[in-house]
Amino acid sequence: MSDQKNFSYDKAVARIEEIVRLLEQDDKSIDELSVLVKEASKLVKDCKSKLRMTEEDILKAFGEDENQ
Amino acid sequence: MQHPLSLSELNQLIQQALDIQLHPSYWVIAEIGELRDSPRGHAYLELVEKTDQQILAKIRGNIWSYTYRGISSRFSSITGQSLKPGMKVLAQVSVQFHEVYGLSLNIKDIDPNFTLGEKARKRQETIDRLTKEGLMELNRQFILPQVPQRVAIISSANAAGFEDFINQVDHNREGFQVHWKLYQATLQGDQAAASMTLAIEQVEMANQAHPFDLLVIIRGGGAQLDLDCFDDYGLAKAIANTTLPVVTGIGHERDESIVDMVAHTKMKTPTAVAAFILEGFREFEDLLEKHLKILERNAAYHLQKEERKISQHGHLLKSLFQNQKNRAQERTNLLQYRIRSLANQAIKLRSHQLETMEGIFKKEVQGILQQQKDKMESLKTDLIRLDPATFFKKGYTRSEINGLPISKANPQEGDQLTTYGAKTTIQSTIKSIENHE
Repeated sequence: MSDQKNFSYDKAVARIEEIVRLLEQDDKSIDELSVLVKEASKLVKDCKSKLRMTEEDILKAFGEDENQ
Repeated sequence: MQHPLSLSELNQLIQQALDIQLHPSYWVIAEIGELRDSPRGHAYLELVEKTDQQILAKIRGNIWSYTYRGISSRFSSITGQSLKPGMKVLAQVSVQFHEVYGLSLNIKDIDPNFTLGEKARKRQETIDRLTKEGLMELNRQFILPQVPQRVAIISSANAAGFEDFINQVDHNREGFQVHWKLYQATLQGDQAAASMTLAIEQVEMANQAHPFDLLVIIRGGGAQLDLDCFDDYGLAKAIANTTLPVVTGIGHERDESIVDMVAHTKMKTPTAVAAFILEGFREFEDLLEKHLKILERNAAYHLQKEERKISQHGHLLKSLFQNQKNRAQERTNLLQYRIRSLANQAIKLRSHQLETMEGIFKKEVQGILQQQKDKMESLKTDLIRLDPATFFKKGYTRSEINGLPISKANPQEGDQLTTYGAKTTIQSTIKSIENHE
């Protein structure tokens, strides 16, 4: 995840939604479809990871607060 | 006419007449007009009787040397002075007549007691006169200075008494400083009274520029003879009229002189005058010390009193201050307690609010996260659903013409068809087209 710093959750979600819309239009070749699906799948994975990390960060932040 | 006589016959007749008519000797009162001592020890005199201006009688006299020695020494020892012109004497005389030298008196004795009485009478006259003129007590009206620091001295520099006086005054054991100035005067003889009177005038003149505290007349040692000058009216008057108190130390054993009587204070000797002056210093010093002691005592008493007062004030102040401090301390403590409890309350409240907010926030965040998760899941599901692999797994295939799905490509017979399946890709040529619509 080298591009984690530049990773934007909102942009990723927007891209995934665009890809879903493109897939639903069904006017791409199977090769293009395959590339889009792969891209979307990766973005979904990244987003999930981002969410998990965010959750952990939040929990950690609150936890630290309690420890003070 | 009577038969004339020779001069010697006449003189003999006079002598015989005198011898018959006169007693062998007479006691005569007369004043000595002149007195000469001869080299052989005889005395030649002139006896006179006079009123104020006029000479009533005068006669020559002599005292032969052997008689003269006896008379003179007896006279001196009784009257304290020697025979001299101006004296009134009572003399035992015999009348002598000499054919060549004429009439004279041979003095056989002189009664000193008469002269003494005469002197006393004259002295009394002087006293009476001074009393009448109010001069006897005049000098005593001065208040004697307690510490006479400037002393005018009338004396003779070579008089033994003067030296004694200076020694005592200058070397007193307390080291008192007495400033003195000597006015020289002759202290005996005919000139003495006038000389001392002159000295008094000089002192008076000097006194105007630099005042003296005291005038001292001292004499001492030397002969006891001839103190008549201290009975002189002129000198007594000058002393009475001087502007300084006069202390005398004439140093004689006899009755006090008129100068002593007129002076403010009479001391026997110059040494006694010095002691008298120094005693004044001593008494004054004692007085000062007494005052000093009283002063010290009073000062100590007041100091103690003030010290007690201050100390009392100090205690009072301290206790007042302590009270104030305690009160302030209590007030501070109370305020501190209130601030702490208010602060605690506020903190608790805020803390509670914060906790609540935290809860809400957590919940919010959880919600958002969950929402996103759900969204992700749904997107994932969509992707799976739309993934061509999913169709292929179920046995469906997909056919394309020139990379376009059949539905979009408007297929014609003879077109090259590419069909994708799960495990295969098939190339075929369209033989016929059947429209289902």
